[in-house]
Amino acid sequence: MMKGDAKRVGVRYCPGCGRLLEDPQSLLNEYWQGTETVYFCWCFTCSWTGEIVEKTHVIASEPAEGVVT
Amino acid sequence: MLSKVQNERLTRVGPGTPAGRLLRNYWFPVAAVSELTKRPTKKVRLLGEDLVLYRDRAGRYGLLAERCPHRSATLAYGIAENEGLRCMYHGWLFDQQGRCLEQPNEPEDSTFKDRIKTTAYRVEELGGLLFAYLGPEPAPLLPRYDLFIRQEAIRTIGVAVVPANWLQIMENSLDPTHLEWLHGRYFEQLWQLEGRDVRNWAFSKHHLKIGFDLFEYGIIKRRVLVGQTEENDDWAIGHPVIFPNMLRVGDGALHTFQIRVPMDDTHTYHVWYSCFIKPEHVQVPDDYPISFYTVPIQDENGQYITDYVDGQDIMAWASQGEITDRSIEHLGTTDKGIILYRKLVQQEIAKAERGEDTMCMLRDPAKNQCIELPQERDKYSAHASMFKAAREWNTRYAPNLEEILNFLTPRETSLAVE
Repeated sequence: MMKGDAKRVGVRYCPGCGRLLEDPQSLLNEYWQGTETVYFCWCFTCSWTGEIVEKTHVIASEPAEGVVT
Repeated sequence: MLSKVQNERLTRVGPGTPAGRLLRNYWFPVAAVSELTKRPTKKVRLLGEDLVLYRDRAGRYGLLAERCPHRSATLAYGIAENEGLRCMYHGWLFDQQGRCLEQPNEPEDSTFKDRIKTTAYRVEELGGLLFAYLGPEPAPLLPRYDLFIRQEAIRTIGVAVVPANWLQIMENSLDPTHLEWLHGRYFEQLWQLEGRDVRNWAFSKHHLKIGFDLFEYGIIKRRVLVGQTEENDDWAIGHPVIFPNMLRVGDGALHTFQIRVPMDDTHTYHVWYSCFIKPEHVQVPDDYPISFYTVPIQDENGQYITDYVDGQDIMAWASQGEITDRSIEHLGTTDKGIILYRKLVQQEIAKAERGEDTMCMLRDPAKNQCIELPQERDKYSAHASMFKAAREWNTRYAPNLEEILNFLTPRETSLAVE
């Protein structure tokens, strides 16, 4: 997240229980991996821990050779 | 990036704050034993509280609120007595529990003193340090981590007051890659300006991989440098960050605890507890003293002293701001150890708020005889030679460093990789 965009957070709710991850008792820590924004989440309520990756584009697997599309 | 609210929760240490409540579950070193042999009192600031540490004439240690309950004079200039500490202003005498034992100028039959009690905390001695506990009873055991009690070591203790919040200092210890820049390339630049040979400075090696594992006492930090594999000690063994506030660093010849003691929100009392391991053939007197020194952080021009490893760290910590604003940071993949540590702090704060014991609170004496911690023997593939670089660490300020190095042979003075 660049300067000037500091208020925008792509993740707000725990995938495990739906509690607001911006709760000061939880941890919502953003970092970057190449072009992707990643949110490390730990939920105070249900202890769900994981990372959520914000995707701006999706690359599907290439079709096998010889397959007519 | 963190929200400002979450940053506040992780960093503030005063009474009643979430992190302050967590940190009150632990013992903190507040002085070297040797400090109280020259003077019986020492002013201490710990977790936002102003206190006075003292040694009475019977050899017992106590920790009291700095202000005398009579008329608020400092007890830092108090008079040590057999039973405790006496205020130098009007002679009120306090014991280890904070009870007022005497008010010499009140009527002999007065019971006024029985209604006076000041704040008092526990103090225990271990390994040449005095530790204080400010938390709820029953107090946990003072952890007997191995360096505090191992026999074959020559110890020296350095301290500094760093103008920065405790958390950013701890986060530095979960940030392995700063090694190759702050202590590698930056060091090379300084030395090149001095005309010194910088070839093969082991700290400049590039990181190929870093890793972090939770263990019973905190987080094990691992790295693979250029020229290394996962078989090397830096990955296979690693070294620990002991929760909540201690780093262990070193190799087979020199081990150091870096203990970060939160004085208040914006100052940290930093203790370097260094143990030079005596080779079997070296004879050192059994009563060889533990030396003590203060590490200067700025020169006469107000510039940070950065021509040694710890001075470089101090400069970086302080430069982040008293409490670094994590709402404007930009973390990358090399910062995952920092994120893991933040999660651990949040998780343990939650336990403290529920009244549960938190990580590294020890209750079982059988488990506390000697807590062995992992540590690389051959660090940076430099063959257990970190003691040779003792002049490039805070230990350069130890008054007896040359004597210690003379005990330890061979006497090469540069840490270079063959």
